[in-house]
Amino acid sequence: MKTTWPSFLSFQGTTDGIFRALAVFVLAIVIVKYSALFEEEYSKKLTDLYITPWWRLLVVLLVLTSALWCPRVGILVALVVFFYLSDMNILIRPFSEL
Amino acid sequence: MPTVQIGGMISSFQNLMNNMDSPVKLLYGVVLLLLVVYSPVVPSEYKTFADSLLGRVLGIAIIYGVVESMGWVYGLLTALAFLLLISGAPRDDFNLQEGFDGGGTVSEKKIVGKRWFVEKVLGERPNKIATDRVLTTAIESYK
Repeated sequence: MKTTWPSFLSFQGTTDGIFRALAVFVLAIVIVKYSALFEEEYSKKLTDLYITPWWRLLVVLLVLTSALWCPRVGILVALVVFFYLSDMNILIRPFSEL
Repeated sequence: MPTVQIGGMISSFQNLMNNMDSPVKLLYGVVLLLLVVYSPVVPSEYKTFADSLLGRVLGIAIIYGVVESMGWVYGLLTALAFLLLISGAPRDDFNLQEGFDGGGTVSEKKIVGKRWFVEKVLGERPNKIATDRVLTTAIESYK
């Protein structure tokens, strides 16, 4: 008897499907390694770029485009972006306001 | 018979225009985009309200309404903006409570004179001083 994935988890065997599965896999690793732990520091470039509004705009556009490409990828990207923006927002806050 | 151009840039532009969302949805999307990008500068009063019980219930209802009426992509953006507002809200338990409130046995004193240097640097404005004297004892040696 052949076992099949639930429809919302299944990926097609095309190149597009393989890239979607790859993106989900990479994003899951990023969430576990960086987003789930506040103490895990982001790279210096990501930290420096946060203060510029156009970078945050690009990050939100990444959420939009990935959600339009694939709902599963979009949700995971939104999670990563939320944790990134939230962590950076806390880290740049003056110590006296914490 | 006039020549009609098929394909090319004009066709792509027409396809884009035909597949775009309504102006109201696009305007809402732009507002959400700006809200997410500039969430750190949203006044703390709004963030505090969003973090209250009423604010959270309203937020979840708004997200549900947006998902039902505008689609899940707009709902995802709304949820992102709402969560960023909540996470940036000032926490009362960190801000307003004095670490050492005097209790009853320790005499509280009013602050007299200028602020200490460390208070200026850290931006602290203490209301009272629990005690201005510290009793210490010598370290006893181990035998």
